[in-house]
Amino acid sequence: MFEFVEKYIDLVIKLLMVAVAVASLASMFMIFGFAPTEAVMGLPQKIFYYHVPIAILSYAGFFICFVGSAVYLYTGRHEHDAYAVSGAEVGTLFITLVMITGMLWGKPSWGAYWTWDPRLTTSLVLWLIYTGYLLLRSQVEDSTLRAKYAAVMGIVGFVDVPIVHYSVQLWTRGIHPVVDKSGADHGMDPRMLKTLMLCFPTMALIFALLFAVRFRYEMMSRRLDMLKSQSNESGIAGN
Amino acid sequence: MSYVVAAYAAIWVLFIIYFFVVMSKTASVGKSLASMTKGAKADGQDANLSSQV
Repeated sequence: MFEFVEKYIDLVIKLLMVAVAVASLASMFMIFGFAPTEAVMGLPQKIFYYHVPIAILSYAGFFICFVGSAVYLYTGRHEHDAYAVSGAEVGTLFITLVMITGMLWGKPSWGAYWTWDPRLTTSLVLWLIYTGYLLLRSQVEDSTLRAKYAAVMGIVGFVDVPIVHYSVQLWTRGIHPVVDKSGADHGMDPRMLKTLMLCFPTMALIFALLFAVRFRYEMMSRRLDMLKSQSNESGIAGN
Repeated sequence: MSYVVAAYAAIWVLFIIYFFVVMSKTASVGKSLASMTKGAKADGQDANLSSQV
């Protein structure tokens, strides 16, 4: 599986770049040229079309980190740690954007950039956990120790993801709306729904592209480290 | 309108910056890898030559 990914990753990245360009243009047209302006919130509601898919995909990044960390601890194979760090980094980028776009939507809707609402607070905790994860990785020099410590944090940190997702239901006093209401009574205009349905795959493609480039970089830098340590060893042996 | 523009600008700017930072780091690692591989090949050739001698 891993050899297959490594062999075709350059081709996959090129294809994803084309797909991202097409899907991004289409989604921007749908958001600003097709979807109607919401009657109560007005234009700021248009932030919703990227805000929601980005939030869901940040969970995907942390899930990849969780699985990669667990498999790394079980097998000890370093490529699983590469999956974990790539997922965590792209997930952190996405959760950062969720918080920025959320604040920019919150100000015109709630009158404040930030409130200590359960969804916002748990999202901030999630952001802190994975920023901490990345900081931890940058502070440990030994690659095996770094992978082990990070794997433990990647597994424990994932506990916050379901808490963030269900915080709206768990603490009903918050002001963040429930946006994942499914079924016929979601009350959304069909054009809004179509736009959102296009924005999900667009963001998924962007996520896949960023994850692929990050994963390729991680594997190449690990190979370089390995070559350097081999040449150092052979230099010492030669001396 | 300014909030919508700010939100979409933030999204695209961060995506593009992240993409290009990772791509430039990859290019730099790629260069180092290529030079190390060349060096290793050259060493191998030297070794072959010395073994032939």
